[in-house]
This record gives sequence, C-alpha cells and structure tokens, in this order.
Amino acid sequence: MEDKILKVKHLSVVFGQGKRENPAVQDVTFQVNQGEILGIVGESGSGKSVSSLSVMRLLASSGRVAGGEILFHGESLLDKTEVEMTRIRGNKISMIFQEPMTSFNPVYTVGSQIVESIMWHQKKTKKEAEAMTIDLLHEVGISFPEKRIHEYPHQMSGGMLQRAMIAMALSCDPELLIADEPTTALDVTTQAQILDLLRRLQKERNMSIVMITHDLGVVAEVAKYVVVMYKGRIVEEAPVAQLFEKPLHPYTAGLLRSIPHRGDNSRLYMIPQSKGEAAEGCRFCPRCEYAMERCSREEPVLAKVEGGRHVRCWLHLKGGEVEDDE
Amino acid sequence: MKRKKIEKENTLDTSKWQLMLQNKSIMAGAVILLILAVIAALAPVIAPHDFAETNTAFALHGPSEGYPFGTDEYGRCVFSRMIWGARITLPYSLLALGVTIVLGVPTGLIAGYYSMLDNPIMRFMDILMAFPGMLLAVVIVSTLGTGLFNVTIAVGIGTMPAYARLIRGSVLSLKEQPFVEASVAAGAKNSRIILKHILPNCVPTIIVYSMLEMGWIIMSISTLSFLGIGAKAPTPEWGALVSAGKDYLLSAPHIASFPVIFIFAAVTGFNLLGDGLRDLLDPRM
Amino acid sequence: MKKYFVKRLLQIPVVLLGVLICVFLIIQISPGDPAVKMAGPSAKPEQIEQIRTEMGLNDPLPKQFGDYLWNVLHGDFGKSYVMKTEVKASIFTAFVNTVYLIIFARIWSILVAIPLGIVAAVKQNTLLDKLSMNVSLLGVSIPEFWLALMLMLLFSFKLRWLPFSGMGQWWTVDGFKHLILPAFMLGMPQLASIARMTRSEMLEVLRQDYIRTARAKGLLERIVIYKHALKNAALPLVTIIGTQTGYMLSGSVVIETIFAWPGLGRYSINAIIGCDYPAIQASVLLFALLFLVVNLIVDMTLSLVDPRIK
Repeated sequence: MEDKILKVKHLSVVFGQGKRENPAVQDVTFQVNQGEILGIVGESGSGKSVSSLSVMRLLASSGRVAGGEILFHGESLLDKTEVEMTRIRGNKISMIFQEPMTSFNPVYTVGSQIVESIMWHQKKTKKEAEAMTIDLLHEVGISFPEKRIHEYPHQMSGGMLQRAMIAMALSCDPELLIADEPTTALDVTTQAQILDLLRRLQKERNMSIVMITHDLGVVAEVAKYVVVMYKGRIVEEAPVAQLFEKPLHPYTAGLLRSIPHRGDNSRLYMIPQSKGEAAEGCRFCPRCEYAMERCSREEPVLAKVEGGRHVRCWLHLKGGEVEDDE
Repeated sequence: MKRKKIEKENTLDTSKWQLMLQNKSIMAGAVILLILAVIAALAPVIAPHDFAETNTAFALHGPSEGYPFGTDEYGRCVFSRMIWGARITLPYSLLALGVTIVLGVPTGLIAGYYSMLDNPIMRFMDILMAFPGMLLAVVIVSTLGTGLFNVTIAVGIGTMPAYARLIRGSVLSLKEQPFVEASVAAGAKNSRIILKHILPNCVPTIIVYSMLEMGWIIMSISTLSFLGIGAKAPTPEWGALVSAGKDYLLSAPHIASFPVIFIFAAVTGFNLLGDGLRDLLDPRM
Repeated sequence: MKKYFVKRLLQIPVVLLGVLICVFLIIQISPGDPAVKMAGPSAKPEQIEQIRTEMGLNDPLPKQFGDYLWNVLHGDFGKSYVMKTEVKASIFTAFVNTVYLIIFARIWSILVAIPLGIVAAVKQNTLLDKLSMNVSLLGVSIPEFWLALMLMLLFSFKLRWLPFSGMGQWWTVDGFKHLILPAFMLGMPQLASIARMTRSEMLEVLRQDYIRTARAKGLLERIVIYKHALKNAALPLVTIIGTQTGYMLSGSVVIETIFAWPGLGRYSINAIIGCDYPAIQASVLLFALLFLVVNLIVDMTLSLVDPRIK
C-alpha cells in the first residue's frame, strides 16, 4: 500500500507583481511515495527549484504561490503559520542545496551549525548534540569527525561539505529530503560518491527523496519515478525505466538523445534552439521536431496515458482526456 | 580648463544630456544651486542692506519691519548678511575645490601611471589621510595662520589625499585597457597618453566626486570659520554668522538660527547633484 | 595572529615619527618668532636673544629636532607660549577627557544605529526603511555646529534640563548630565552612515546561500537575522565604525569648543588661535596617536570576528 507523503496539486508560483509578473511554475502536480525517490528533471528556468522551494515555503520575497495545494501527510503546508513551518523545516522535511561551499555560514564551525539544528528541533543538551553530530559525520563518510566538527567551512573541500550538509539535513531524521542539484557543483568522482551515499541513507532510513537535477544520468542512478519539467510545466511523468525505454514527450526524447554514448561517433544531438517565445499553445512547440498545427494554437493538458504515465503532448492525446488524480 | 570642457562634451552625447534632464536628483540639485548662484550674483541688488551697515538703535531685534531675519548685536541685518555671505562661502568653497583638483588629480595620475612612484606617494597620502579631513585642515591652518584664505587652502589640501587615491584607482584600471596599450604600442609619449587618453576618462569620476565633496568643503569652511580660525569680522561668511550668534542664544536666537538655511541648501544641492550624477555616470561607484 | 598584532604595533611609532617630522618642519616655516612670543611684548632685545638661546633656537636644525624628539620621548612637550607653563601637564588631562567623551559617543551611536539598520534591512522598501534612510540623508546637510547650538538652546537655555558647558565631576550624576549633550552631538552625524552601512551589509548578507540554509533548517527568522546574518555583516561594519571614529576626532574639535568640554579638541583650537606652537605640535601628535590606536583596535577586532582572517 503506497503512502503518498507529499502531494503537490496544480501548483502555480509567480514572481513579481502587476505588469512584470512572471509565471515561474504553472499547474504542477506530482507526488512522492513513502520511502521512494522522485526525480525532477529540467533545464534551468524550468521551475524545478521553485517548485521545491515552495514546498518548504522558502520562496524569495518576490515570489508567491498563486494557486494549488501542497499536502504533506494530507495536511496543507500552504495553510500553516510561519512558526509551524519552522517546526517542519529541517525536522520533517529537509533540503540540501547545490553549492555546499556557500551554503554553510562561514563564521561558524561546521559542527556548531549541525549542533544548532539538533538542539533546536530536539530536546538535547549540547554534549548530546555534539555526540550525535560526530556520529552523523561518520555516517556520511567523513573521516576524523571529532576533529572536523571544529573546522570552518573554508577549511573543507566541496565534497566533504556536501556530505556535512547531508548530515545536517538528516540530523533530525526527516521523512522527506529535497535535494536540489546536490551534485552539480562537484566533480564526477565525488558526484558518484554522494549519490551512493544518498541511496544508502535512503534505504537505511526508509526516507523519501525528491532529487532535482538537470542530469538524466543522475536520475537514472537513483530515482524510481521521474517528472520532466519544461518552462514551468510538467511535460512528462513516468517510472524511470519506462521513461528511458520509451520517452513520450519530444523534449524528453531530445534529452535522451543528447546524452553521448560510448562508441558512438556520430554528431552529438542538440535539441533545436527556440526561435522565440510561444505565446500560446505548447511551450515546447518552437523547438519541437514533431510540432503539429494544433500545437501552436492550443496548449496540451497533462493527461494520463497507458502504463499509468502522464504526458503533456498532442502527439499522445487522442481525445484530450483530462484526468485528475484523487 | 577649456580643453577639458571640449573633451567632456565629446564623451557625453545628447542622449546623456536628456538622461540628466530627466533625473530628478540632478535637476533638483541643479535648481537649488542655480538659485544660490543667482542670489550671490545679485547680492547688491536683492539685499535690503549692506552687510556692514550698522544700526545700533535696532540691535538684537527679531524679525521685523525692514529686517526680515532680524538684526545682530550691531544692528546689522541678518538677512542681508546671509545674502552677502553667498558671495563669500560659495566662491571660496569653489576655490578650495580648485586647490584639491589641482593638487590631487596630477598626484593621482602620476601615482597610478608610474608604478615606481606609486608606493611612496600613496604612503604619504596615507599619512595625510591618517588625519580625518577636518583635523588635517586644522593642522594646516595652524601652520599657515588663521584667516579665510588660509582656511580655504587648508580645506583644499585636506580633501586632496582622498582625491588622489580615487584618481589613482581609476588610472590603475584604465592603464590595463586595450586602447592604452594600443597607444603605448604606437609609440606615444607618456605625457600624451596621460593627457589625451587617461585623463578624459577620469573626468566623469572627477565630476561626480567633486560634487559630492563640495558639500563637505562648504561644511568645513563654515565650521572652521565658526570656530574662529577662518573668516574674520565683519566678513559675513555663513559659518562666522552662526558663530556671531552663539553668545546671544537665549536673547536673540535668530542670529545663529537663520544662516544655516543657506548652508543646508548649498550642501543639499551639491549632494543631490552628485548623487544623481553618480547614479548616471558611474553606477559602480 | 600575534605576529600581525606586533607588526601593526610597530607601525605606529613609524607613522608617528613621520607626523612628528612634518609637524616640526611645518613649525619651522610658519611665521612668527617663538622667542619673541615667549619673552612677551615688553621684552628687550637682549632678553629675547637670551630666551632664544635657552630655547635652542640658534642650534642647527637637526639638533633642534633631535632635542625635540628626545624630549617628546620623555613626555616633555615644551612650554606653552601662551600659558608659559609645561604643555604636558594640561594636555594629558585634555587627552583623557576627549577619550572619555569619544567612548561614550561611540557606544550610544552604535547601540542606536545598528538596530536601526537591521530593521531597515529586514523591512526593506517599506515606509520605515525609506523614512529612516531619507532622514539620514538630511542629517548630512545640516552643520554639526548649528545643530549643537540649537540643542544647547533647547535643552540648556529654554528647558534648563542640562548644563551647557564644561565637564563637571565625571563620577557624579551632574557630571553625567554634562556628558549628555556633547556625547549625543558627537555620535549623531555618524548615526546615519552607520545605519546605512548596516542596512546595505545586512541586505547583502541576507541574499547569501547560507541564510537560505539556515531558514531551511527551520530556525526562527529572529535567529537567522541576529545569529547568522549579523555576524557576517559585522565584518565590514567594524571597519566602517573604525573609520567613523576617526571622523569623531574632527568632530570633537567642534563639539568640545561649543560645549566648552576640556578636551584635546578645544585645547588644540585655542592653541591655534593663540599661535602656541609647542601646544599645537603636541596636539597634532596626540591626535595622530589616538587615531592610530583606534585603527589598531579596529583591525584586531576584525580578526577576532572573522575566522578567515586568522
């Protein structure tokens, strides 16, 4: 029996006001199951980070949720007060970010920042919290953790800091971890190590993870379900194996084709450059190889197709069926 | 000066003039300064009395018939003295600015361009800057002796180190620019490069900084006169006017209170102008 | 760290020496004959000549300077032309009084300016922010000396709440009353700039990634601002506050004169007006010393606050 711990329904987020309003996220719907990893894939500007920041209610002051629901264990997060949210962040839902080097406060030791989180959410003494911190650092694979807790961020490498950030995020045993491009700023070897670590921790703690990335390789490694976003909308959603085997949306197909393969000497595929903004119709239409006449007129809806997948494309919607999940 | 003016017009084209006219800050500042300049120019015409004209029978009276801002202890019209004061404070402030530019700009140019001289010159500037501006001016006055002219020179010298530093910074970054390297490669003499290429590009910085510093210069000159080491009686320098009133604060507060209006206006005018120009010409500053 | 401290400490005498040389040379070229001044208006030529030899004015310049340097190192600044007494007696008290005034002025202005800046940053672009920042703009255009006089008019003369001059006995309540107006006026001009700097530094810091992390950890906004943001904004603030304290030295010259506070500022102005060169020399030296010490304290504080400097 699947328990969906996070449900995002028809979420819309806008930035700015009045004339300069920019709809960063439109009609985004996805869910995360207990103990599973959801991958959100998209290029920059696709709205993937904004969606997750909205879950945490951490949007910059210029952004606001314009519509939709965010349900955590059935409770609406959008209705919670700020104080209630502070009890959830870092505690039930944690988030880790892309740049570990700048994500730690440079004037405090790494250890003290983790201890701070523990002491804030749990009733532990400083000594207890420090002991827990050392254990956590050990768990994420940092050597000599007793020494490390007294170090400052500038004294540690990017990979180590990212591990520390993971430790900090997990310090209060959250049910859901949102990882916003956690490996993008790291070199390839470290990337692999961090992904391994996340997978291991996820299994051990039966934690749910939302893995946000632009890298399909990362998604293939860790995710069970994948959501593909483009320009603020979800264009495809499927279990990972099916997505890779048979991508339905032209954008997804393009992404897959542009991954270089060993032994393949042909020219690298590039998704055609957009020839301008599409005011109406499908947002991907200007770059789409398969664009039909209907595509430039009418924006397709996200519809359920065979295999329990969803796709937002006229190619696959015969009668334009719309399905709204529970 | 004329040569600089021509070069300035070359670097500012018409669209920039339009931008300036639209900028509220610049227009407000310019209007205020224009009014003050007109007051100074027309002083003999607008002032109801001469600044030294006494009327002991009417001494220490508040605002009254024929004396809009009242009289001081000698029966002189405060309003008139304020107006005549515009002819003292403003020109002398500009003189101080001139001193600063004449001293500071070449120093900065040389320090920035000839790297061998950079260190010693800047060390010396640091020692000068070790004294906060007014203190430096005070020290210089202590050497030269008191008096409005000496105070003006002192304030001019006091502002100089900051200027030199600023110009030097500009020169250092301009030196690396391709057009300078091209000149050097073409065999141009150093003096030509400095005068024809580097200096004109410093002009916007100089202008903006000058406007902003004028406020401080006016304050310093009036403060030093207030302290008694600047303008001597009966010169109606604005600071001196306030000083004259400090002995009569309770009985005749108007003597010390009113002159500040012009000081405030002048400083605000230059600050507005400077702020506006800075936003326009060099947003990085 | 200790090495840095020692290095900075050693720089002070070097700069002071430079200042001393400048001052000495300046006095040499200034008009007026010290011997004539010392002798007084009714002295005969032989008396003046005798005084001139006594004062060492006929010695070669290097020797004069050497003597002067030697004396200074022993705390002897010579005799005042005006008061005919030893400079060092009166100037050290004046020095201490100024330090006392500056410390108070600095403390109160920080206590007010920094919270003001924080509030302005947190409530950016609201009415409060715009109001406080624009008011501070006005403050820059009003002359200190005028404002001081107006306050004196209001509080000392009209309301009679506070004394208008002098220092009183500092350990008494009356002494504290004497402190209020001068300390307020001394700290006021910088209130604006410190508040502005605090605001812009806080705004800069609040945009950083680690603030986002702190919020993502579920910390209360209050803690995010005061614990995480402020400490980072403090670094450039310390520098600014240090520079501003230097400006306070200039301010002390004006404020002390207006309120007849017996400090170094008033001492030096009187010395200038009276052409009292030994007093002037000593004043300049002590101002320089004060300034350098302040800078040193600022730098030391900086390295304490920012672990990266270590």
